[in-house]
Amino acid sequence: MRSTLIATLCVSVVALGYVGAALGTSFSDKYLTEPCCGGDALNGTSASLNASSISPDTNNCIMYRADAEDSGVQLIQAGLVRCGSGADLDATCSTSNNLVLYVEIIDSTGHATCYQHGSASTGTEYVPVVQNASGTTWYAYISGTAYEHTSMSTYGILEGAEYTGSSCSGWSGSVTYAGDSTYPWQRFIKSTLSWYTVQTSYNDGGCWTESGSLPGSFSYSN
Amino acid sequence: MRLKTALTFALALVVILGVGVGTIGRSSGRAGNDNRTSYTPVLTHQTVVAGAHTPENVIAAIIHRYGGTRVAGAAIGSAPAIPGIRPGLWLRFSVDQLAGDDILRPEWEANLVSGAISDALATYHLAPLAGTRIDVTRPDGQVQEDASGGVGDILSGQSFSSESDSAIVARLRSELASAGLAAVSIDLLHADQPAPVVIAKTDSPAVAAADARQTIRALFGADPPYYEGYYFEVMDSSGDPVFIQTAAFRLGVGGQWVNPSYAGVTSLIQTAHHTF
Repeated sequence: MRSTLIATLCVSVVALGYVGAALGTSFSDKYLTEPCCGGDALNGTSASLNASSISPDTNNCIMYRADAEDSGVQLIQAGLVRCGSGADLDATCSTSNNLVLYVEIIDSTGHATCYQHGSASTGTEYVPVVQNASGTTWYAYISGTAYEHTSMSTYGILEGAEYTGSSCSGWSGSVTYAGDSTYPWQRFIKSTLSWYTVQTSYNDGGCWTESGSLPGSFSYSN
Repeated sequence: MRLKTALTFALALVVILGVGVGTIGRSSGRAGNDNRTSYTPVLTHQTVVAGAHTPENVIAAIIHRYGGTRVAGAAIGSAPAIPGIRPGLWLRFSVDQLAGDDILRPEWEANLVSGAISDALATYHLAPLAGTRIDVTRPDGQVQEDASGGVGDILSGQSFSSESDSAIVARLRSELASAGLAAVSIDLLHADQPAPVVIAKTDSPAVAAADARQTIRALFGADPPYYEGYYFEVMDSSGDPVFIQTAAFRLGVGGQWVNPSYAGVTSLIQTAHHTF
């Protein structure tokens, strides 16, 4: 009985301190990939986030988000985005250097769509969630409201910050995840409809300095 | 006794590891709902339709008048059975992807129409538009159900350009020429106010990709945008698309695709997929 319980409840993922980047983008994330945690599926990710600051340069955007991705090009993410005065995300999100809530979906052929969900503010706790509760349909939520969905297989889930440029200077930002202890970073398993607090993870360094540690709160700043 | 011990151990693990059961779509904090555009909106417009002020007539009237060829119809549907769904109307669109269309074209036409419907529902104090699902009929007749869909949180009543079609076409031709692009076609849809569909061609696709953001802002504005929506596609001399950008500002939904050959040079912001 005891061993069965231990096998069922995922405890550990090895932290490897991996640093990754793509297409001039700087990620600083905590992430998990399948197979995770003794064979568990990854069907959702949730954590509160609170942005202290978010100041991109003129031509780029900064996103703080919960994200699920397949092993190809598909993703669904929800969170906060702010673009510089000369930039925007997919034509409609943060078109005038404003901080907004957003959901972005990229389909299997690389088509990106951004859904703008109202203004956001620094110093406020938000809870972005992406979740696959049945079938292959992933829904995005922000603070309890259900928004867009897409059909996608899963490979990884991420919580963290993304800067769309390649330079580590000329912009700044600071964000804390899981600062509200009611909403630590958790992963979802649809077969049991259960959320599990993540104990350890892979990490991307990128341009951001990370502080804090799981299963508690963690922060990124530049 | 063994069972009691096991249950005690299980409970301890639940507490230690923070297992939550049956929780879908966590609730906390607040969703933003003020100043609900990504720019400073001009709120002096009301979207109206002729005839009865019912959701069914609003939908039919706007589809009838918008002037595009991809939206075959829309019907009031049911909301997904999940928690946290916004209250209001759900629409199920049927759109046609014509031969040669990128998928963004029929999806954009549905979004443009949805935005006008959303604003007309607000004009007549009807239930708000809460969600859409878009079923796409491919050129080979195959139907992809629920290919996309979604509704941003947007203020109703935004006013955009109501210049004449001929004036808009003239201005867009001039801006394309300034950007070194040749106009292939410029059409205007009228779900409510004018929304341009601009197809252009270039002999220098890498340059066009690099200049994309500047070109788009010159053509369509940004703060606030000139038009209630646009579809913009640039092709190379062979007719292969270099990039596509779409916007439906009454819905708060925008789309983008960049030919992977130009992903490294384009000035358009691209969210990157993680390299696991």
